[in-house]
Amino acid sequence: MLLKKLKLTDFRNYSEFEEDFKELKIIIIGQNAQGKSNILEAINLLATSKSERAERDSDLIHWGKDFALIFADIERKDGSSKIALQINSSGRRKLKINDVAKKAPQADLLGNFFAVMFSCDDLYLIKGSPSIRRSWLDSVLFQLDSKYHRSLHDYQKSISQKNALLKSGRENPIARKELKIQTEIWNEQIINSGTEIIYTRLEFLKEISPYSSELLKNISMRTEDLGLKYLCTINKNEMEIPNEKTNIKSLFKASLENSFEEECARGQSVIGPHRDDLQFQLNGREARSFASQGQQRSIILSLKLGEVQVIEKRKNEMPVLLLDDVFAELDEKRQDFLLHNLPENIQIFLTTTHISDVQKEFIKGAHIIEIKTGKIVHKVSA
Amino acid sequence: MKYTKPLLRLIEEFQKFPGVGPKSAERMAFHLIKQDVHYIEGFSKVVIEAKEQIRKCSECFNLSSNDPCEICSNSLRDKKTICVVSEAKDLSVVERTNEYKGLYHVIGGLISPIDGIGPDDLVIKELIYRVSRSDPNEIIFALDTSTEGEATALYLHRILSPLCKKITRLGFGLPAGTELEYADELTISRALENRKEIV
Repeated sequence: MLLKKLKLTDFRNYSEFEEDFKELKIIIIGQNAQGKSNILEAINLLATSKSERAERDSDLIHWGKDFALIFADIERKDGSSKIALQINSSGRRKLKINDVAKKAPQADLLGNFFAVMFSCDDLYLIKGSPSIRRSWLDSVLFQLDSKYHRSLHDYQKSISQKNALLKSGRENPIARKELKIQTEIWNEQIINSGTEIIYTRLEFLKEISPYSSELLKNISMRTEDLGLKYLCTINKNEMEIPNEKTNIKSLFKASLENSFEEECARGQSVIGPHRDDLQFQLNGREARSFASQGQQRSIILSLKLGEVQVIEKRKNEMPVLLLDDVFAELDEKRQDFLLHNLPENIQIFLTTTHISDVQKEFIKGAHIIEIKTGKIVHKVSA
Repeated sequence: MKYTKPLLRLIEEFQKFPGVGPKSAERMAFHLIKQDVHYIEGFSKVVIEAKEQIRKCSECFNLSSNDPCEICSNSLRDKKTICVVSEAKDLSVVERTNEYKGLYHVIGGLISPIDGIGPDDLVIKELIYRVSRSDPNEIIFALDTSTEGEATALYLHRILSPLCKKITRLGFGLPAGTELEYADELTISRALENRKEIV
Protein backbone atom coordinates (compact mmCIF):
# COMPACT_ATOMS: atom_id res chain seq x y z
CA MET A 1 0.00 0.00 0.00
CA LEU A 2 1.25 3.45 -0.92
CA LEU A 3 0.30 6.95 0.03
CA LYS A 4 0.72 8.64 -3.35
CA LYS A 5 -0.40 12.13 -2.42
CA LEU A 6 -1.16 14.07 0.69
CA LYS A 7 -2.80 17.45 0.88
CA LEU A 8 -3.50 19.30 4.09
CA THR A 9 -5.48 22.49 4.50
CA ASP A 10 -5.54 24.32 7.83
CA PHE A 11 -4.32 21.23 9.61
CA ARG A 12 -2.29 22.06 12.74
CA ASN A 13 0.38 24.57 11.69
CA TYR A 14 -0.12 24.00 7.94
CA SER A 15 -2.36 26.42 6.11
CA GLU A 16 -1.52 24.51 2.92
CA PHE A 17 0.61 21.45 2.31
CA GLU A 18 0.66 19.38 -0.83
CA GLU A 19 3.10 16.73 -1.91
CA ASP A 20 3.28 13.72 -4.22
CA PHE A 21 5.12 10.65 -3.03
CA LYS A 22 6.36 8.33 -5.71
CA GLU A 23 9.13 6.89 -3.58
CA LEU A 24 9.08 4.22 -0.90
CA LYS A 25 11.23 6.29 1.43
CA ILE A 26 10.28 9.80 2.45
CA ILE A 27 12.45 11.76 4.86
CA ILE A 28 11.03 14.89 6.47
CA ILE A 29 13.69 17.14 7.94
CA GLY A 30 13.14 20.13 10.17
CA GLN A 31 13.99 21.73 13.47
CA ASN A 32 11.77 21.08 16.47
CA ALA A 33 8.25 22.51 16.39
CA GLN A 34 8.24 23.18 12.63
CA GLY A 35 5.48 20.65 11.85
CA LYS A 36 7.25 17.39 10.95
CA SER A 37 5.19 15.24 13.28
CA ASN A 38 1.97 16.91 12.19
CA ILE A 39 2.37 15.31 8.77
CA LEU A 40 2.71 11.86 10.31
CA GLU A 41 -0.19 12.62 12.63
CA ALA A 42 -2.41 13.38 9.62
CA ILE A 43 -1.34 10.17 7.88
CA ASN A 44 -1.93 8.10 11.00
CA LEU A 45 -5.34 9.69 11.47
CA LEU A 46 -6.37 8.30 8.08
CA ALA A 47 -5.57 4.81 9.33
CA THR A 48 -6.88 4.90 12.90
CA SER A 49 -9.50 7.66 12.74
CA LYS A 50 -7.94 9.17 15.87
CA SER A 51 -4.94 11.14 16.95
CA GLU A 52 -2.71 10.11 19.81
CA ARG A 53 -1.73 13.69 20.46
CA ALA A 54 -4.98 15.63 20.14
CA GLU A 55 -7.47 15.56 22.95
CA ARG A 56 -10.26 16.75 20.71
CA ASP A 57 -10.74 17.34 17.00
CA SER A 58 -10.55 21.11 17.38
CA ASP A 59 -6.89 20.72 18.43
CA LEU A 60 -6.15 19.55 14.89
CA ILE A 61 -7.42 22.72 13.24
CA HIS A 62 -5.18 25.65 12.34
CA TRP A 63 -5.59 28.45 14.85
CA GLY A 64 -8.58 30.66 14.05
CA LYS A 65 -10.01 28.40 11.30
CA ASP A 66 -13.30 26.50 11.36
CA PHE A 67 -12.16 23.26 9.80
CA ALA A 68 -9.18 21.29 8.57
CA LEU A 69 -9.01 19.13 5.46
CA ILE A 70 -6.96 16.03 4.73
CA PHE A 71 -6.88 14.69 1.17
CA ALA A 72 -5.06 11.51 0.33
CA ASP A 73 -4.55 9.36 -2.75
CA ILE A 74 -3.98 5.77 -1.78
CA GLU A 75 -2.82 2.93 -3.95
CA ARG A 76 -3.73 -0.57 -2.89
CA LYS A 77 -3.45 -3.99 -4.45
CA ASP A 78 -7.12 -3.90 -5.31
CA GLY A 79 -7.07 -0.43 -6.81
CA SER A 80 -6.71 3.14 -5.72
CA SER A 81 -8.88 5.36 -3.60
CA LYS A 82 -9.22 9.03 -2.80
CA ILE A 83 -9.98 10.00 0.76
CA ALA A 84 -11.24 13.44 1.74
CA LEU A 85 -11.71 14.09 5.44
CA GLN A 86 -13.04 17.32 6.88
CA ILE A 87 -12.47 17.92 10.57
CA ASN A 88 -14.75 20.56 12.04
CA SER A 89 -14.32 22.52 15.23
CA SER A 90 -17.77 21.33 16.30
CA GLY A 91 -16.36 17.79 16.48
CA ARG A 92 -18.45 16.55 13.57
CA ARG A 93 -16.47 15.15 10.70
CA LYS A 94 -17.28 14.71 7.04
CA LEU A 95 -15.81 11.96 4.93
CA LYS A 96 -15.79 11.26 1.22
CA ILE A 97 -14.20 8.20 -0.30
CA ASN A 98 -13.84 8.35 -4.08
CA ASP A 99 -16.15 11.35 -4.02
CA VAL A 100 -18.93 9.44 -2.30
CA ALA A 101 -20.06 10.95 1.01
CA LYS A 102 -20.05 8.45 3.88
CA LYS A 103 -22.63 8.34 6.62
CA ALA A 104 -20.34 7.37 9.51
CA PRO A 105 -17.12 9.40 9.10
CA GLN A 106 -15.33 7.68 11.98
CA ALA A 107 -16.20 4.08 11.26
CA ASP A 108 -16.25 4.31 7.47
CA LEU A 109 -12.74 5.74 7.39
CA LEU A 110 -11.32 2.61 9.00
CA GLY A 111 -10.11 -0.23 6.81
CA ASN A 112 -9.20 1.95 3.82
CA PHE A 113 -5.64 2.66 4.79
CA PHE A 114 -3.23 0.96 7.17
CA ALA A 115 -0.34 2.51 9.07
CA VAL A 116 2.01 1.65 11.88
CA MET A 117 3.23 4.63 13.88
CA PHE A 118 6.48 4.38 15.78
CA SER A 119 7.42 7.54 17.64
CA CYS A 120 9.79 8.39 20.46
CA ASP A 121 6.72 8.63 22.71
CA ASP A 122 6.19 4.91 22.25
CA LEU A 123 8.77 4.23 24.93
CA TYR A 124 5.97 5.18 27.32
CA LEU A 125 4.15 2.08 26.16
CA ILE A 126 6.12 0.15 28.73
CA LYS A 127 6.65 2.78 31.39
CA GLY A 128 3.46 4.79 31.08
CA SER A 129 -0.05 4.35 32.40
CA PRO A 130 -2.36 1.49 31.34
CA SER A 131 -4.45 3.88 29.24
CA ILE A 132 -1.50 4.32 26.85
CA ARG A 133 -1.33 0.56 26.28
CA ARG A 134 -5.10 0.29 25.81
CA SER A 135 -4.97 3.15 23.35
CA TRP A 136 -2.25 1.34 21.37
CA LEU A 137 -4.33 -1.84 21.25
CA ASP A 138 -7.35 0.17 20.14
CA SER A 139 -5.49 1.96 17.36
CA VAL A 140 -4.26 -1.34 15.88
CA LEU A 141 -7.58 -3.10 16.27
CA PHE A 142 -9.54 -0.24 14.70
CA GLN A 143 -7.56 -1.03 11.55
CA LEU A 144 -7.72 -4.79 11.78
CA ASP A 145 -11.31 -5.43 12.76
CA SER A 146 -14.24 -3.44 11.47
CA LYS A 147 -16.48 -4.58 14.34
CA TYR A 148 -14.05 -3.43 17.05
CA HIS A 149 -14.77 0.30 16.66
CA ARG A 150 -18.47 -0.35 17.01
CA SER A 151 -18.05 -2.59 20.05
CA LEU A 152 -15.83 -0.04 21.78
CA HIS A 153 -18.27 2.75 21.01
CA ASP A 154 -21.22 0.78 22.40
CA TYR A 155 -19.19 -0.31 25.38
CA GLN A 156 -18.09 3.20 26.30
CA LYS A 157 -21.65 4.46 25.96
CA SER A 158 -23.01 1.78 28.29
CA ILE A 159 -20.19 2.43 30.78
CA SER A 160 -20.95 6.16 30.93
CA GLN A 161 -24.66 5.42 31.40
CA LYS A 162 -23.90 2.96 34.17
CA ASN A 163 -21.47 5.37 35.85
CA ALA A 164 -24.14 8.10 35.78
CA LEU A 165 -26.57 5.65 37.37
CA LEU A 166 -24.13 4.53 40.08
CA LYS A 167 -23.22 8.13 40.83
CA SER A 168 -26.84 9.20 41.17
CA GLY A 169 -27.48 6.10 43.26
CA ARG A 170 -24.83 7.30 45.67
CA GLU A 171 -26.16 10.85 45.82
CA ASN A 172 -29.87 9.99 46.10
CA PRO A 173 -30.02 6.51 47.57
CA ILE A 174 -32.73 4.34 46.04
CA ALA A 175 -33.70 0.83 47.07
CA ARG A 176 -30.77 -1.58 46.61
CA LYS A 177 -32.93 -4.04 44.73
CA GLU A 178 -34.10 -1.40 42.26
CA LEU A 179 -30.55 -0.10 41.77
CA LYS A 180 -29.44 -3.65 41.09
CA ILE A 181 -32.05 -4.16 38.37
CA GLN A 182 -31.18 -0.84 36.76
CA THR A 183 -27.47 -1.66 36.89
CA GLU A 184 -28.03 -5.04 35.33
CA ILE A 185 -29.70 -3.63 32.24
CA TRP A 186 -26.46 -1.78 31.49
CA ASN A 187 -24.32 -4.72 32.58
CA GLU A 188 -25.98 -6.96 30.05
CA GLN A 189 -24.87 -4.67 27.21
CA ILE A 190 -21.48 -4.10 28.84
CA ILE A 191 -20.96 -7.87 28.89
CA ASN A 192 -21.91 -8.21 25.22
CA SER A 193 -19.73 -5.45 23.78
CA GLY A 194 -17.02 -5.93 26.45
CA THR A 195 -16.65 -9.60 25.56
CA GLU A 196 -16.11 -8.69 21.91
CA ILE A 197 -13.40 -6.23 22.97
CA ILE A 198 -11.59 -8.68 25.27
CA TYR A 199 -11.83 -11.51 22.74
CA THR A 200 -10.51 -9.36 19.86
CA ARG A 201 -7.62 -8.07 21.99
CA LEU A 202 -6.66 -11.59 23.09
CA GLU A 203 -6.75 -12.93 19.55
CA PHE A 204 -4.54 -10.09 18.38
CA LEU A 205 -2.00 -10.62 21.17
CA LYS A 206 -1.91 -14.30 20.34
CA GLU A 207 -1.22 -13.38 16.72
CA ILE A 208 1.47 -10.75 17.30
CA SER A 209 3.33 -12.63 20.07
CA PRO A 210 5.29 -15.10 17.92
CA TYR A 211 6.36 -12.37 15.47
CA SER A 212 7.53 -9.95 18.13
CA SER A 213 9.15 -12.70 20.18
CA GLU A 214 11.15 -13.87 17.23
CA LEU A 215 12.21 -10.31 16.40
CA LEU A 216 13.36 -9.67 19.97
CA LYS A 217 15.31 -12.91 19.98
CA ASN A 218 17.07 -11.76 16.83
CA ILE A 219 17.99 -8.32 18.21
CA SER A 220 19.30 -9.80 21.44
CA MET A 221 21.29 -12.67 19.97
CA ARG A 222 18.62 -15.01 21.31
CA THR A 223 19.09 -13.99 24.94
CA GLU A 224 15.81 -12.16 25.44
CA ASP A 225 12.38 -13.69 25.45
CA LEU A 226 9.28 -11.49 25.11
CA GLY A 227 5.97 -12.21 26.76
CA LEU A 228 2.72 -10.26 26.24
CA LYS A 229 0.25 -10.80 29.04
CA TYR A 230 -3.24 -9.36 28.98
CA LEU A 231 -4.25 -8.34 32.49
CA CYS A 232 -7.98 -8.76 32.62
CA THR A 233 -9.92 -7.07 35.43
CA ILE A 234 -12.79 -9.52 35.09
CA ASN A 235 -10.31 -12.19 36.04
CA LYS A 236 -9.12 -11.26 39.53
CA ASN A 237 -7.99 -14.77 40.40
CA GLU A 238 -5.53 -14.66 37.52
CA MET A 239 -6.93 -17.78 35.96
CA GLU A 240 -6.24 -18.53 32.34
CA ILE A 241 -8.58 -16.26 30.38
CA PRO A 242 -10.95 -18.46 28.41
CA ASN A 243 -10.68 -18.20 24.66
CA GLU A 244 -14.32 -18.88 23.91
CA LYS A 245 -16.69 -15.94 23.85
CA THR A 246 -19.35 -17.76 25.84
CA ASN A 247 -16.85 -18.49 28.62
CA ILE A 248 -15.60 -14.90 28.72
CA LYS A 249 -19.24 -13.84 28.99
CA SER A 250 -19.96 -16.02 32.00
CA LEU A 251 -16.74 -14.95 33.72
CA PHE A 252 -17.62 -11.30 33.03
CA LYS A 253 -21.11 -11.81 34.40
CA ALA A 254 -19.92 -13.48 37.59
CA SER A 255 -17.28 -10.77 38.17
CA LEU A 256 -19.80 -7.98 37.74
CA GLU A 257 -22.09 -9.75 40.17
CA ASN A 258 -19.26 -9.87 42.72
CA SER A 259 -18.27 -6.24 42.21
CA PHE A 260 -21.77 -4.81 42.55
CA GLU A 261 -21.28 -3.59 46.13
CA GLU A 262 -17.87 -2.11 45.35
CA GLU A 263 -19.23 -0.36 42.27
CA CYS A 264 -22.09 1.12 44.30
CA ALA A 265 -19.70 2.30 47.01
CA ARG A 266 -17.32 3.93 44.52
CA GLY A 267 -20.04 5.22 42.23
CA GLN A 268 -18.35 3.90 39.08
CA SER A 269 -17.67 0.82 36.98
CA VAL A 270 -14.53 -0.83 38.32
CA ILE A 271 -14.09 -3.87 36.08
CA GLY A 272 -14.09 -4.44 32.34
CA PRO A 273 -11.84 -3.85 29.33
CA HIS A 274 -11.77 -0.09 30.06
CA ARG A 275 -9.64 -0.97 33.08
CA ASP A 276 -7.62 -3.81 31.58
CA ASP A 277 -3.90 -3.62 30.98
CA LEU A 278 -1.14 -5.24 29.01
CA GLN A 279 2.07 -6.43 30.61
CA PHE A 280 5.35 -6.77 28.75
CA GLN A 281 7.55 -9.50 30.11
CA LEU A 282 11.23 -10.00 29.50
CA ASN A 283 12.46 -13.49 30.24
CA GLY A 284 9.38 -13.99 32.38
CA ARG A 285 9.80 -10.85 34.48
CA GLU A 286 7.92 -7.56 34.23
CA ALA A 287 9.76 -5.43 31.67
CA ARG A 288 8.61 -2.20 33.28
CA SER A 289 10.76 -2.84 36.35
CA PHE A 290 13.37 -5.28 35.09
CA ALA A 291 14.23 -4.24 31.55
CA SER A 292 16.96 -1.66 30.95
CA GLN A 293 16.33 1.40 28.75
CA GLY A 294 18.00 -0.36 25.86
CA GLN A 295 15.99 -3.54 26.35
CA GLN A 296 12.77 -1.51 26.51
CA ARG A 297 13.68 0.07 23.19
CA SER A 298 14.26 -3.37 21.71
CA ILE A 299 10.87 -4.54 22.95
CA ILE A 300 9.06 -1.58 21.38
CA LEU A 301 10.97 -2.10 18.15
CA SER A 302 9.95 -5.77 18.05
CA LEU A 303 6.39 -4.83 18.84
CA LYS A 304 6.13 -2.28 16.02
CA LEU A 305 7.72 -4.58 13.45
CA GLY A 306 5.39 -7.32 14.66
CA GLU A 307 2.48 -4.97 14.13
CA VAL A 308 3.56 -4.48 10.52
CA GLN A 309 3.58 -8.24 10.01
CA VAL A 310 0.18 -8.85 11.58
CA ILE A 311 -1.47 -6.15 9.48
CA GLU A 312 0.25 -7.43 6.34
CA LYS A 313 -0.85 -10.98 7.03
CA ARG A 314 -4.41 -10.26 8.03
CA LYS A 315 -5.15 -7.60 5.43
CA ASN A 316 -2.90 -8.87 2.66
CA GLU A 317 -1.77 -5.29 2.28
CA MET A 318 1.49 -3.73 3.49
CA PRO A 319 0.86 -0.89 5.97
CA VAL A 320 2.73 2.40 5.69
CA LEU A 321 5.36 2.82 8.40
CA LEU A 322 5.61 6.17 10.19
CA LEU A 323 8.86 6.71 12.07
CA ASP A 324 8.63 9.86 14.13
CA ASP A 325 12.02 10.97 15.36
CA VAL A 326 13.00 7.46 16.41
CA PHE A 327 16.54 7.34 15.04
CA ALA A 328 17.70 9.79 17.67
CA GLU A 329 16.40 7.33 20.28
CA LEU A 330 17.91 4.18 18.81
CA ASP A 331 21.58 3.28 18.91
CA GLU A 332 23.37 2.09 15.80
CA LYS A 333 22.76 -1.57 16.51
CA ARG A 334 19.03 -1.09 16.78
CA GLN A 335 18.91 1.26 13.79
CA ASP A 336 20.65 -1.44 11.77
CA PHE A 337 18.24 -4.02 13.01
CA LEU A 338 15.23 -1.88 12.12
CA LEU A 339 16.51 -1.18 8.61
CA HIS A 340 17.34 -4.80 7.92
CA ASN A 341 14.09 -6.21 9.19
CA LEU A 342 11.79 -4.04 7.13
CA PRO A 343 9.83 -5.71 4.36
CA GLU A 344 11.11 -4.70 0.94
CA ASN A 345 8.02 -3.03 -0.45
CA ILE A 346 7.02 -1.01 2.60
CA GLN A 347 6.56 2.73 2.30
CA ILE A 348 8.23 4.66 5.11
CA PHE A 349 7.78 8.23 6.28
CA LEU A 350 10.56 9.30 8.58
CA THR A 351 11.05 12.55 10.45
CA THR A 352 14.33 13.76 11.83
CA THR A 353 15.99 16.97 12.99
CA HIS A 354 19.34 16.07 11.47
CA ILE A 355 19.89 14.09 8.31
CA SER A 356 23.13 12.89 9.90
CA ASP A 357 21.03 10.84 12.37
CA VAL A 358 19.81 8.74 9.46
CA GLN A 359 21.85 5.91 8.08
CA LYS A 360 23.36 6.56 4.63
CA GLU A 361 21.86 3.35 3.32
CA PHE A 362 18.39 4.62 4.08
CA ILE A 363 18.92 8.02 2.49
CA LYS A 364 19.74 6.39 -0.85
CA GLY A 365 16.80 6.78 -3.18
CA ALA A 366 14.73 8.69 -0.64
CA HIS A 367 12.52 11.67 -1.29
CA ILE A 368 13.64 14.38 1.13
CA ILE A 369 11.63 17.43 2.11
CA GLU A 370 12.61 20.11 4.55
CA ILE A 371 9.95 21.80 6.65
CA LYS A 372 10.08 25.22 8.25
CA THR A 373 7.13 26.79 10.09
CA GLY A 374 4.56 24.70 8.27
CA LYS A 375 6.00 25.11 4.77
CA ILE A 376 8.15 23.02 2.49
CA VAL A 377 11.37 25.01 2.03
CA HIS A 378 13.52 22.50 0.21
CA LYS A 379 13.09 19.29 -1.76
CA VAL A 380 15.45 16.61 -2.97
CA SER A 381 14.10 13.80 -5.11
CA ALA A 382 15.94 10.69 -6.01
CA MET B 1 -26.02 43.34 10.06
CA LYS B 2 -27.91 43.10 13.32
CA TYR B 3 -31.64 42.45 13.27
CA THR B 4 -34.11 44.60 15.14
CA LYS B 5 -34.99 43.27 18.56
CA PRO B 6 -38.47 41.77 17.93
CA LEU B 7 -37.13 39.91 14.89
CA LEU B 8 -34.17 38.63 16.88
CA ARG B 9 -36.55 37.38 19.56
CA LEU B 10 -38.63 35.55 16.96
CA ILE B 11 -35.54 33.90 15.46
CA GLU B 12 -34.45 32.82 18.93
CA GLU B 13 -37.83 31.25 19.59
CA PHE B 14 -37.67 29.20 16.39
CA GLN B 15 -34.18 28.10 17.22
CA LYS B 16 -35.52 26.38 20.32
CA PHE B 17 -37.38 23.92 18.08
CA PRO B 18 -35.78 20.50 17.75
CA GLY B 19 -33.65 20.18 14.63
CA VAL B 20 -33.80 23.90 13.80
CA GLY B 21 -30.48 25.70 13.45
CA PRO B 22 -29.84 29.46 13.15
CA LYS B 23 -30.26 29.53 9.35
CA SER B 24 -33.60 27.70 9.31
CA ALA B 25 -34.82 29.79 12.23
CA GLU B 26 -34.01 32.91 10.25
CA ARG B 27 -35.90 31.61 7.22
CA MET B 28 -38.96 30.72 9.30
CA ALA B 29 -38.99 34.11 11.01
CA PHE B 30 -38.76 35.98 7.70
CA HIS B 31 -41.51 33.83 6.23
CA LEU B 32 -43.81 34.62 9.12
CA ILE B 33 -43.11 38.35 9.04
CA LYS B 34 -44.04 38.50 5.35
CA GLN B 35 -47.56 37.17 6.00
CA ASP B 36 -50.51 39.49 6.67
CA VAL B 37 -52.00 39.93 10.11
CA HIS B 38 -55.02 37.67 9.43
CA TYR B 39 -52.81 34.78 8.64
CA ILE B 40 -50.77 35.34 11.80
CA GLU B 41 -53.96 35.49 13.90
CA GLY B 42 -55.19 32.26 12.36
CA PHE B 43 -51.83 30.63 12.90
CA SER B 44 -51.67 31.65 16.57
CA LYS B 45 -55.17 30.30 17.04
CA VAL B 46 -54.21 26.94 15.57
CA VAL B 47 -51.28 26.71 17.97
CA ILE B 48 -53.36 27.63 21.00
CA GLU B 49 -56.19 25.28 20.05
CA ALA B 50 -53.76 22.45 19.53
CA LYS B 51 -52.30 23.04 22.95
CA GLU B 52 -55.73 23.29 24.58
CA GLN B 53 -57.33 20.35 22.87
CA ILE B 54 -54.55 17.83 22.75
CA ARG B 55 -54.02 15.84 25.89
CA LYS B 56 -52.71 12.48 26.80
CA CYS B 57 -54.94 9.41 26.72
CA SER B 58 -55.19 8.14 30.28
CA GLU B 59 -54.91 4.55 29.04
CA CYS B 60 -52.02 4.54 26.58
CA PHE B 61 -50.59 8.08 27.00
CA ASN B 62 -50.78 8.78 23.28
CA LEU B 63 -51.56 12.36 22.29
CA SER B 64 -55.25 12.79 21.47
CA SER B 65 -58.13 15.19 21.80
CA ASN B 66 -60.32 12.44 23.23
CA ASP B 67 -59.81 10.44 26.37
CA PRO B 68 -59.61 7.49 25.94
CA CYS B 69 -58.00 8.06 22.53
CA GLU B 70 -59.33 6.91 19.16
CA ILE B 71 -57.25 3.73 19.28
CA CYS B 72 -58.08 2.71 22.86
CA SER B 73 -61.81 3.30 22.28
CA ASN B 74 -61.93 1.48 18.93
CA SER B 75 -63.88 -1.75 19.52
CA LEU B 76 -62.24 -3.42 16.48
CA ARG B 77 -58.76 -3.28 18.00
CA ASP B 78 -57.28 -6.31 19.72
CA LYS B 79 -57.38 -5.35 23.38
CA LYS B 80 -55.14 -8.24 24.39
CA THR B 81 -52.00 -6.98 22.65
CA ILE B 82 -49.97 -3.97 23.78
CA CYS B 83 -47.19 -2.40 21.75
CA VAL B 84 -44.79 -0.33 23.86
CA VAL B 85 -43.21 2.68 22.13
CA SER B 86 -41.00 5.47 23.38
CA GLU B 87 -42.71 8.51 21.84
CA ALA B 88 -46.05 9.31 20.18
CA LYS B 89 -44.23 9.77 16.86
CA ASP B 90 -43.02 6.14 17.05
CA LEU B 91 -46.62 5.08 17.54
CA SER B 92 -47.64 6.74 14.30
CA VAL B 93 -44.79 4.99 12.51
CA VAL B 94 -46.11 1.58 13.59
CA GLU B 95 -49.68 2.67 12.92
CA ARG B 96 -48.86 3.68 9.34
CA THR B 97 -47.99 0.08 8.48
CA ASN B 98 -51.69 -0.85 8.84
CA GLU B 99 -50.42 -4.24 10.03
CA TYR B 100 -50.82 -3.83 13.74
CA LYS B 101 -54.30 -4.12 15.21
CA GLY B 102 -53.59 -4.05 18.93
CA LEU B 103 -53.22 -1.23 21.46
CA TYR B 104 -50.22 0.93 22.38
CA HIS B 105 -48.46 2.30 25.39
CA VAL B 106 -46.28 5.42 25.10
CA ILE B 107 -43.67 5.50 27.87
CA GLY B 108 -42.46 9.00 26.95
CA GLY B 109 -38.72 8.44 26.50
CA LEU B 110 -35.92 5.98 27.18
CA ILE B 111 -33.92 5.20 30.30
CA SER B 112 -30.77 7.34 30.21
CA PRO B 113 -29.02 8.04 33.54
CA ILE B 114 -26.69 10.57 31.85
CA ASP B 115 -29.72 12.73 31.08
CA GLY B 116 -31.15 12.03 34.51
CA ILE B 117 -33.93 9.84 33.14
CA GLY B 118 -34.68 6.77 35.24
CA PRO B 119 -37.65 4.38 35.12
CA ASP B 120 -39.60 6.65 37.50
CA ASP B 121 -39.43 9.49 35.00
CA LEU B 122 -41.18 7.39 32.35
CA VAL B 123 -44.76 6.14 32.16
CA ILE B 124 -43.78 2.71 33.43
CA LYS B 125 -45.74 2.41 36.68
CA GLU B 126 -48.92 3.02 34.71
CA LEU B 127 -47.88 0.31 32.25
CA ILE B 128 -47.34 -2.22 35.05
CA TYR B 129 -50.73 -1.37 36.50
CA ARG B 130 -52.35 -1.61 33.09
CA VAL B 131 -50.78 -4.99 32.34
CA SER B 132 -51.73 -6.49 35.72
CA ARG B 133 -55.31 -5.25 35.23
CA SER B 134 -55.87 -6.14 31.58
CA ASP B 135 -53.82 -9.38 31.42
CA PRO B 136 -52.65 -9.08 27.78
CA ASN B 137 -51.70 -12.10 25.68
CA GLU B 138 -48.69 -10.34 24.23
CA ILE B 139 -46.56 -7.27 24.84
CA ILE B 140 -44.42 -6.04 21.95
CA PHE B 141 -41.48 -3.68 22.41
CA ALA B 142 -40.97 -1.33 19.47
CA LEU B 143 -38.01 0.64 20.84
CA ASP B 144 -34.81 2.09 19.36
CA THR B 145 -31.87 -0.29 18.94
CA SER B 146 -29.56 2.23 20.66
CA THR B 147 -27.93 1.31 23.99
CA GLU B 148 -30.66 3.32 25.73
CA GLY B 149 -33.40 1.53 23.80
CA GLU B 150 -31.86 -1.84 24.63
CA ALA B 151 -31.55 -0.95 28.31
CA THR B 152 -35.18 0.17 28.44
CA ALA B 153 -36.35 -3.04 26.75
CA LEU B 154 -34.31 -5.14 29.20
CA TYR B 155 -35.72 -3.23 32.15
CA LEU B 156 -39.31 -3.55 30.97
CA HIS B 157 -38.77 -7.22 30.32
CA ARG B 158 -37.53 -7.73 33.88
CA ILE B 159 -40.48 -5.91 35.36
CA LEU B 160 -43.21 -7.29 33.09
CA SER B 161 -42.19 -10.91 32.63
CA PRO B 162 -43.92 -12.07 35.85
CA LEU B 163 -47.11 -10.44 34.57
CA CYS B 164 -47.25 -11.52 30.94
CA LYS B 165 -46.24 -14.81 29.34
CA LYS B 166 -45.41 -13.56 25.87
CA ILE B 167 -43.09 -10.58 25.56
CA THR B 168 -41.62 -9.91 22.12
CA ARG B 169 -39.59 -7.23 20.37
CA LEU B 170 -39.33 -6.08 16.80
CA GLY B 171 -36.98 -8.28 14.73
CA PHE B 172 -33.59 -7.05 13.58
CA GLY B 173 -33.12 -7.47 9.90
CA LEU B 174 -32.33 -6.03 6.53
CA PRO B 175 -34.06 -2.83 5.53
CA ALA B 176 -36.73 -3.60 2.95
CA GLY B 177 -36.00 -2.97 -0.71
CA THR B 178 -32.25 -2.45 -0.29
CA GLU B 179 -29.37 -4.20 -1.92
CA LEU B 180 -27.42 -6.53 0.34
CA GLU B 181 -24.06 -4.97 -0.48
CA TYR B 182 -25.13 -1.62 0.97
CA ALA B 183 -26.15 -2.97 4.38
CA ASP B 184 -23.57 -2.49 7.13
CA GLU B 185 -21.94 -5.46 8.82
CA LEU B 186 -23.82 -5.12 12.09
CA THR B 187 -27.17 -5.17 10.34
CA ILE B 188 -26.18 -8.22 8.35
CA SER B 189 -24.80 -10.12 11.34
CA ARG B 190 -28.00 -9.38 13.27
CA ALA B 191 -30.11 -10.42 10.32
CA LEU B 192 -28.09 -13.62 10.16
CA GLU B 193 -28.76 -14.30 13.83
CA ASN B 194 -32.46 -13.74 13.23
CA ARG B 195 -32.67 -15.65 9.98
CA LYS B 196 -35.89 -17.41 9.08
CA GLU B 197 -36.76 -20.62 7.36
CA ILE B 198 -38.52 -20.12 4.04
CA VAL B 199 -42.03 -21.45 4.35
